[in-house]
Amino acid sequence: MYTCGIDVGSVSTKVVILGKKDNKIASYIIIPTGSDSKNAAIKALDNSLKKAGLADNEIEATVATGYGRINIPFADQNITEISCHARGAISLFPDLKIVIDIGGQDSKVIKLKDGKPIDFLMNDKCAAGTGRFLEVMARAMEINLEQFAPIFIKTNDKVNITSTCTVFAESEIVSLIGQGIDKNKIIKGLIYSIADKITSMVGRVGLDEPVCMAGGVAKNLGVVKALEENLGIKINIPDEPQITGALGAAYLAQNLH
Amino acid sequence: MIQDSKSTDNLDTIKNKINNIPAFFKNTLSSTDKRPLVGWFCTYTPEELIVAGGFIPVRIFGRKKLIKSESYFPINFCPYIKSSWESLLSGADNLKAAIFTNSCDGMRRFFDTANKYLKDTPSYLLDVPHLRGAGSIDFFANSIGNMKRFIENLNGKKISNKEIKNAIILINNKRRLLKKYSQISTKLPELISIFSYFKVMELSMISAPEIFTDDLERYIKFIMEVDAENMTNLQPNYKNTPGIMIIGNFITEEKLWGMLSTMNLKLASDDLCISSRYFEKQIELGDDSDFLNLTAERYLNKPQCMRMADHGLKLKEIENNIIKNNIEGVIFISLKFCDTMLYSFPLLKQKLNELGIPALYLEIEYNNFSEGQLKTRVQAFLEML
Amino acid sequence: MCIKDKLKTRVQRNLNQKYIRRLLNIIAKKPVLYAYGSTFSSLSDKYLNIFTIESLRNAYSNNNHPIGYGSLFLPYEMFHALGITPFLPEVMAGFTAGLGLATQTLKEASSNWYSQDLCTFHRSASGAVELDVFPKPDFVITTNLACDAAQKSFYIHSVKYNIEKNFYLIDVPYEYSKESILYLTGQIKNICMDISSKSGMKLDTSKFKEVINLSNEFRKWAIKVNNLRKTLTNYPPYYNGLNFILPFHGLAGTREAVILYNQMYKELKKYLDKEEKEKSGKNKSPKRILWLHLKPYYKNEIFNILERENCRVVFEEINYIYWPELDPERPFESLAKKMLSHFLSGRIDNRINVILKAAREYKVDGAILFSHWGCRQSNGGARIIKDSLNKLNIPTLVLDGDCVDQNNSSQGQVKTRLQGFVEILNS
Repeated sequence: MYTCGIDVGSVSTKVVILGKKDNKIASYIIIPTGSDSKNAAIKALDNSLKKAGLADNEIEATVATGYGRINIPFADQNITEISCHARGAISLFPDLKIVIDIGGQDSKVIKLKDGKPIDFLMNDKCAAGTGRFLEVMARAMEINLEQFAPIFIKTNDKVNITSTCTVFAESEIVSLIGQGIDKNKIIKGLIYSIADKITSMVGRVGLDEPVCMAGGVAKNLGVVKALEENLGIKINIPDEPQITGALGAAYLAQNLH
Repeated sequence: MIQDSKSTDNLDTIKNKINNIPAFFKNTLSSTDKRPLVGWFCTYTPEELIVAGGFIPVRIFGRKKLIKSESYFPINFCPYIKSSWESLLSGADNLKAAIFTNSCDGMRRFFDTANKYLKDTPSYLLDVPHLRGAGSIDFFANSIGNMKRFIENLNGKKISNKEIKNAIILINNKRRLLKKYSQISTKLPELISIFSYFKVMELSMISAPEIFTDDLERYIKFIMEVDAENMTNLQPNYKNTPGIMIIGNFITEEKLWGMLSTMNLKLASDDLCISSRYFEKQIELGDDSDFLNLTAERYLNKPQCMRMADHGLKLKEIENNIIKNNIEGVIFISLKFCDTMLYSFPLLKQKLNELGIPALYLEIEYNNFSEGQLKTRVQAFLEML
Repeated sequence: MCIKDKLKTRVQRNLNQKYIRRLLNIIAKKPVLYAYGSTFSSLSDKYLNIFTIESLRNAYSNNNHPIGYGSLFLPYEMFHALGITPFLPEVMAGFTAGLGLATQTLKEASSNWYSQDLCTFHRSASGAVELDVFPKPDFVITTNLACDAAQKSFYIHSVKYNIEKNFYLIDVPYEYSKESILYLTGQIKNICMDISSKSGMKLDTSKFKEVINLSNEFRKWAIKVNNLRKTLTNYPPYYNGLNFILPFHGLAGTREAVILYNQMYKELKKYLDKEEKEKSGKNKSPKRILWLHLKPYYKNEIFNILERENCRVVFEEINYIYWPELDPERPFESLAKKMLSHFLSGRIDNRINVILKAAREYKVDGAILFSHWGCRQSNGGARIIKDSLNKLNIPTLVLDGDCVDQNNSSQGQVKTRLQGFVEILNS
């Protein structure tokens, strides 16, 4: 038998189907959430069942998480991203103490003790320090987001981005470009501004190792590097960081029946 | 034209000389001075008592990038406190002790945080009343007495009345010289840049007072001599520019001063805790030998910080300043999240409207300066005048 | 639409002093008032609302009593002894949120140069003053106890009404000491004498005694209520300890506060007796939560979510009785001591001692600190508070939000945080 974890995020919807006996991922899928989160969830589930070659009735239990978790008709329970990310990350790195998850709309830092969350922090209401922030800035500079990491690595200098708010940061960047400042330096500054925000959140719960980073932004090596530099540690990244929450949900679904 | 270029050349050399601050000030703390340092934050802290106790008073400027400190305070919290906390956490100031005041909510929580998480540096909070008047002066004198005992305990040495008196004379002299320097630089914006002015102000708060006063005296003398020789040669660029007054709190952004120095801005007066609110008003030494009382009187009656209760009096102080110094425009700069400062603006704005003085309102972060946006606003404001 | 919603829309549409006065005059008539009161499902709420409306009617009624604006944490006993009708703009700011007026008041404050970073209690009250919705005061009295914002915004109110000469700040020193008591006693006495000579109301010692005795009686009942709550888990529907702000402030020293807490005691006692009888334990016992600071006063889901997740707020920091019994023979000194005993005065340790004591006495499983945007005095200590509670193994959630401005937090985020926190409590 199998369980299913579904993570309906603001940007993308993730599904993981997990074998109950072997704890192996039978299939996973990531699709854009779009404007209809319920539809996206149904579509993602269908696709992942197809991919795994499974039928509906082979799924014993489903747990939904993410901001759209309440809206999923086929889920047996909804559990917050905090518990799901923690559970997912622990399954990958057993001794984990801290999980950093930078998602599209919000970011969080979860502190673990004996594999269980004991404290967590989520970013304040503004989008600074999230994937959305990077996206908006990339658009403002007319640069592809994928280019951020290579630019970060090859650029030595950076410009301090002073605004802590996405809207103001955008106009600040426009003004920096207007002053003829090198775009690469601005990008490096942007990446540091995210890393600084996350660093202070980690400081609030208290830094402890090992640390794992999940969520879409973990794929951005620039952010990871800046964060490692700030914290002075090495950060573990799952092979597919985006599905950590869905994976955790699938694990938590195992406890349901 | 040829003659002109020669005199400009001359002027540039002189300007460079005058604005080369490090050449005049041995600066901070000479290595031969073995006195330990006691840190302070707020201009209601009587440095006199720190000096009398055998310590060097240094104001914490906290020019630090925020990394650790962010996790102790909320996002929307005084940036000066955060950067000072970063500085204390890093141990960079090498302090024997730190003296806080209950100047505002932020400072009270800053003291609590230092008290809790900074184990090696003893910290003390000086209780400063919000009211003026006889009862408040008595109360404040008693608070200063408690602070005196804290300082005595730092090195186990009693502070004598004579030591307090000598310290008062020394700090009075520092204040007198700073005021003189301030008057000269308002008169000679052509020679003394805004950057230099505030650099000297900063040095006055982080140097051994004896050395600093000597240096400042020499520096002033030099400027006066140059002035006497070159007055006729000066290009009166600033003659027709309007006099500006800056009103703000702990505004010590070097890049800001640098930016303003390039903008042909005539700083005719200020109301800042790193300038006039620091050096105005002396301790009146007379027959009275109750030095704590005299000290309390000076500190409570100096130009007020916005944290004091009588905001009407504050507005009167500003109005007098505007009239006396022919101010034509006010730049209001507040560090973000400074409640007492921000609450002062609605009424100040109303007052300035009555006086017909235009005002530019700026909120800035600390150590984190966005020149492009600010420059446009200041420039537009100056053009408007 | 129920009567409360109708009232709400009426006020939203007619936001002016005259209309509010007319409305209060209608509601505050005895039969109507008690009929209105009985729409509340708990007795405590009923009396709270009745007394609140009566006190507002008095403030708006234009009768001969002078009106005094007062900030929280003042010794309101002095208002009642001097015959001044108190009006509390900060509490009214909570009402602007509840009545859906805050968007309007906050906008007005913004256009009058109040920075968006300032506390919305004070900004919303300032907006209401600018809109001329509040009754005109004869005196403005405030204190620096707890926060800077009150003394600053209240001064602006006094200028707005042209009564700067009748503005008083009670300057509460940092530490509880002999000198502080002396300094504060002198201030309270002088202010009372000054107000008495300006208002022509005599400073009557027997009146002062009466008020102090009532204040003591209120204190006695409030302590009884607090003791009872140590074992209570089932509450009357919609009972929320964070609503009872007025009796601690504006009503302190009145018979109303005594009646209210006496009734509350009786009501809660009934619930306790019922609970004792049904002690079969068939339901999973709820998680016990300690609430720190205030709550949003607009319609919100926080307490419904907690209820659904089987969590119960068993005590609120603001209901802690921090002051010693007052001495009717030494009213000024007693009130000075009352102010100096407040746990938000002085060091954060004073507050932490109260929090830890409450955490132990009410056997809490977790604590929630509602972090009201722009409240420096409370949020500035959040880290220390959290660390101190964690030492006792009490998980603590610092919940970001805004007590007045509905647009300053997202319901979805609040929900996720609360649920995540409950999952930690249950793990």
